[in-house]
Amino acid sequence: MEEFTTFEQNEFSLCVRVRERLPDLLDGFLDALTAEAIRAHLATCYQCSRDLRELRQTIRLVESLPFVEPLRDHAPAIMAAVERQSGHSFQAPVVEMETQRTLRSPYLPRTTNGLERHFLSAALGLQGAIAAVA
Amino acid sequence: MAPTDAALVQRTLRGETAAYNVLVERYQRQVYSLIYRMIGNADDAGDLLQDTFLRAYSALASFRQDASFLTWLYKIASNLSIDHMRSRKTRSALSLDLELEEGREPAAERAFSPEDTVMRGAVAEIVHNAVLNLPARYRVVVVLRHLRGMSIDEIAEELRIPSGTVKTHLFRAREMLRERLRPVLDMETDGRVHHV
Repeated sequence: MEEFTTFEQNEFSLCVRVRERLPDLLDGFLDALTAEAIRAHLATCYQCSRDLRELRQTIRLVESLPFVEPLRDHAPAIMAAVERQSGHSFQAPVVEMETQRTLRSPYLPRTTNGLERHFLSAALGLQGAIAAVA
Repeated sequence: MAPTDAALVQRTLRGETAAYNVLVERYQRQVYSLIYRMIGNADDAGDLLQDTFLRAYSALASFRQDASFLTWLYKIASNLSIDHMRSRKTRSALSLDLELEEGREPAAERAFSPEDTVMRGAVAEIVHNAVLNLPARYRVVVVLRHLRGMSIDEIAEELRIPSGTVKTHLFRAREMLRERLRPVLDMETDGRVHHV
């Protein structure tokens, strides 16, 4: 009886570990040996194979969501705004600079204003700022 | 034959704004849909759609001709949507940064206006609402992964959080979706529903 209980516990533990890895299996993050071992378990375990099927179904349902149609044609308003901008010189890429990221950092003191945060982050760098706050 | 995106971009850069209108007409539906899935509000989605095309227009000179114009628009729209969620003065949005970093529990279910729930098909509406009802940190990764097709590492870079956190959020999001979509999954298994 005790052996049977242990066997059940081992099976349960294996199922828990397999289910934790199912997303990795679907996303192709597992090495070949691990994937093969999990597939072997799935072939004999109804609950785990059901979990995998439902996970696949869930992803498919989300990925097959149709376009949400805009309630109106936004092109006229967009083009009116573009016309107001036309004549400007085309700018550099919309790429966030590292300094901008640092300025938004939650680690910088909330009490400082934008200019102070700029100089603080520039002078200390992120790690220094964290140390300063700490 | 319809002009290519690259040709339209070139014509726009030469000052032909009508060419940009073609790009707007061509892609506004896709971009609006992505934004709406992320923020769940029709009015805000319209504003962000306009911001996206204005940003793209201003930065058009930096667009690489060999890249996908739609993918480029998606990236701008995603960043604007995430910034919007971060800046909105609401309980769930204010804490998006914290939510992304930590593991705060989901906010209460949200109410939807009739305008926001204009959807075709009962199943699609159920799935749509299940996604919108996810906590913001989970919703963002689900939209980026499953509607924009981004990799885990790309999402981590865009959200500036560790890849492991993205995987954890995605795992929990899918589990929550699975539970919320249980009736649909059961119907599919019984053969009563074949597709959205």
